[in-house]
Amino acid sequence: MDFKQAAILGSYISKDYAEDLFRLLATYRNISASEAASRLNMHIKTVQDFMEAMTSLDILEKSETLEGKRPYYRYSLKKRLIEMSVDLSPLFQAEKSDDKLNLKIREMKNARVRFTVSRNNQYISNVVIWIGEGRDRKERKLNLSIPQGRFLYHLPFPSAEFKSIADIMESAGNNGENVSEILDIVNVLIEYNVIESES
Amino acid sequence: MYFIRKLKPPEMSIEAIFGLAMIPALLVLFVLFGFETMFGFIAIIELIAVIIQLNLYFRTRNIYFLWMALALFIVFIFAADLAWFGLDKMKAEFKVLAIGVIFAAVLVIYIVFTKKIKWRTREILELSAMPVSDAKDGYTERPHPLGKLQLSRFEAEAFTAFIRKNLVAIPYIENDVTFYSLTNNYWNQMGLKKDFKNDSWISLDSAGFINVFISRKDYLKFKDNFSFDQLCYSMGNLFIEFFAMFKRGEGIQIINRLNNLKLNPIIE
Repeated sequence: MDFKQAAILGSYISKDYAEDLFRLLATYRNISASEAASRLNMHIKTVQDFMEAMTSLDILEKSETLEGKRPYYRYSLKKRLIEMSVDLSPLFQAEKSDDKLNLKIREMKNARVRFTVSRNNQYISNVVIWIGEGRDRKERKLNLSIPQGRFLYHLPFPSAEFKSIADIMESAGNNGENVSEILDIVNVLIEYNVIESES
Repeated sequence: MYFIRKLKPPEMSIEAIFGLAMIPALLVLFVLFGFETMFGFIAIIELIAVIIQLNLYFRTRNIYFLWMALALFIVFIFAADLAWFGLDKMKAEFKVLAIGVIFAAVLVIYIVFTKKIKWRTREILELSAMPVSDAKDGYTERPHPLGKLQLSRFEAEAFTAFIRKNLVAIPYIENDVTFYSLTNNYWNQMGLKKDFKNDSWISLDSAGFINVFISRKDYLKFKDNFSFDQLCYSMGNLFIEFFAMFKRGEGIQIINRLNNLKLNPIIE
């Protein structure tokens, strides 16, 4: 199951009527959306959407039935067990982080940003970035994890020499476990022109 | 000691503005209400000044604030006497009080000109900028982490008391972190304003980590846009150096170094 399918299943199965609908499908050999809706006193569109979503996930089977002039679908349960397993490996960065750790960075001069220091004065707790000009100016606040905050606390100043991400992590006392989240915040801040990299 | 001044000329302090405003106020009182009223007003002002000096003494434990309080109290008695009994040069106590006022004036002049009660913000900024010559700007509102200092809690407390007493900075303690605030705000000095985070500070935590923050307001006091990281580094190192000198028992050398800059004791 990919992430998109898992999201559909998760969203429908979390509805409070999901169990009642599955009970009906388990009781009836097959059932139409209108029959199920009238039985559970629900809106037909709600039931229809649910049935279609479950069909797309291969949990239900639908068959077209002709009664009079108008065809309609009858749904039957295809499985007795629904398993949900999501593979998150595609979400991991394929790019080797070692290369990125050698990237030399520093804070950009006149970056329109405000850093808030934590109460214990040991890391940056959030970054507020101003985007746009005049009345269109918007404020974007990024709350940081403690490793990210420590990293930004040790980020070279705009007038200082560039330093590699690995060196900054070492000064900040970050261990290798937080590499991905640090690279993530570095990427975001480069995008918002808060951090510049050595070209 | 001759050096290139890197700070812009100072702005007028609240005390100087108040002092200048007193001259026309006293003249108006003299013309409209007479001699006694003018001295009555002087007496009230002196009494307030005595309370301020006592407050500063209890905040800093700098003994010279007590001497200032004594001097101003003598002036208060003199002014109150004149306001109450009028000017009578033949009175026996007039001569005693006049001699007292002369003594008070000498005492105040000595204390002011030897910089015993001078807040050292501008000296610290000048000394920090002294080794910095690069002008790369690069101001940021982030504190600059400087490194770690090996010190015991007892040493840190003694150093903090020294800094407070000699008016080098105003120490604030928050969550085991001591902030040495370089504010020259009168309300902070009086203890009537507690917020100091928007002014420059040097922090020292219980583990010995030092951080430096220079406010934009203080950065703009420099004549040039000096390289900000070098400025922070220099300020932090200055405090590390002060600490080392203090630890060696050379606290007086710190004061000499500040005095050697020969900044104006009244307007700076």
